[in-house]
Amino acid sequence: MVNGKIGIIVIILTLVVIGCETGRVYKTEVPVGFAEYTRERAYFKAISSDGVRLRIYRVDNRPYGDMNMWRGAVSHYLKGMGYRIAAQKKIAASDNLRGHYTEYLYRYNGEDYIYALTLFVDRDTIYVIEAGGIDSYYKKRREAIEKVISAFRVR
Amino acid sequence: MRRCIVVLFVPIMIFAQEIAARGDSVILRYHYRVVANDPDTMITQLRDITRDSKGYVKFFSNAKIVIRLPGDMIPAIRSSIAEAGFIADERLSRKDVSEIMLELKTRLTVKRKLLQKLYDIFNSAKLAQTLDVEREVGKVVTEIESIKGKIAFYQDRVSLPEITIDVSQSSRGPIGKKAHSQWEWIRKLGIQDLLVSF
Repeated sequence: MVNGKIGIIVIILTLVVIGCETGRVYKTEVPVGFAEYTRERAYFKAISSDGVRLRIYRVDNRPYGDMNMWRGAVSHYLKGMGYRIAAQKKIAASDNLRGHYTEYLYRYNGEDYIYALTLFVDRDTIYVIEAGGIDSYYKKRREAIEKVISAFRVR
Repeated sequence: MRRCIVVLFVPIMIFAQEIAARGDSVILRYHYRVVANDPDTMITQLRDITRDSKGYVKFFSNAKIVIRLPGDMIPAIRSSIAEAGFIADERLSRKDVSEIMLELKTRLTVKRKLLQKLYDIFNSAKLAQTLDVEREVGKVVTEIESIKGKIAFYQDRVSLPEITIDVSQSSRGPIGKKAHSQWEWIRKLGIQDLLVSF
């Protein structure tokens, strides 16, 4: 009987720990024209009817680096992969969270794609917002995506 | 693979050289379909070569370039294409305009003779006839200029073959690009992961 209770408590504690690990610590909206994958826990994922994707997640800011450092690391990697920067700008999201938005061009499987990467960096966490799709489709969705990025905030 | 390319390429070049040796007026058009690891770099290289070879770029985008080059530069540009990517298809079309050129040149000679005669008539004409002769001279001069324009057009087409290169990227991505990051999350960035792991 006692063993059974301990077992239940262990299960509950385990679930609480898993919930803490995978629960989202940020708040975001679903862009207009997108459908959200609601079963996802660690990521926010949404997709439009024309295949434009939006993915949001967080990673530990470890070792600590500021925005410039992470921007440089990401840009260096993507340029090395053949991505070309098309546009970039600073983003001021809610709660004074400052981020950086970069739009890259990339040719993949014979088609031109736009891949947009936004980083929000604070002391402990990097919030990564990826969006991308075929050039012409992405351009139609850009406004809705940018609106969501501007409304992004940490809980 | 390279041997195959050479086997395909040599007859085309021999054929093109034979045409040039005969002195025929032939408009040559080359068409290449190329798969490259880095289409942008390839197109930039082709533009540079074209500029250095006294040719010109007629059209370009990130997937296609149309250039016009002196005929003797064709082997060099082909080598550059083969170095930068894999030639998946190669075509040569020829349009013989020798007959058209011959006809135009004959018409030009005839019209020039006619013009000379008209000038002779003009010099010995009375005042009443002068206006008629002048009108006729105007017509002939217009025709001569039109013929000269057509000849120049064909000569330009013959002397500068047109080369169309359609470039598509290798599905394996930009091989040879050195991209490395210490951080796993950065290595997962990019359109490929975004599309595949969704």
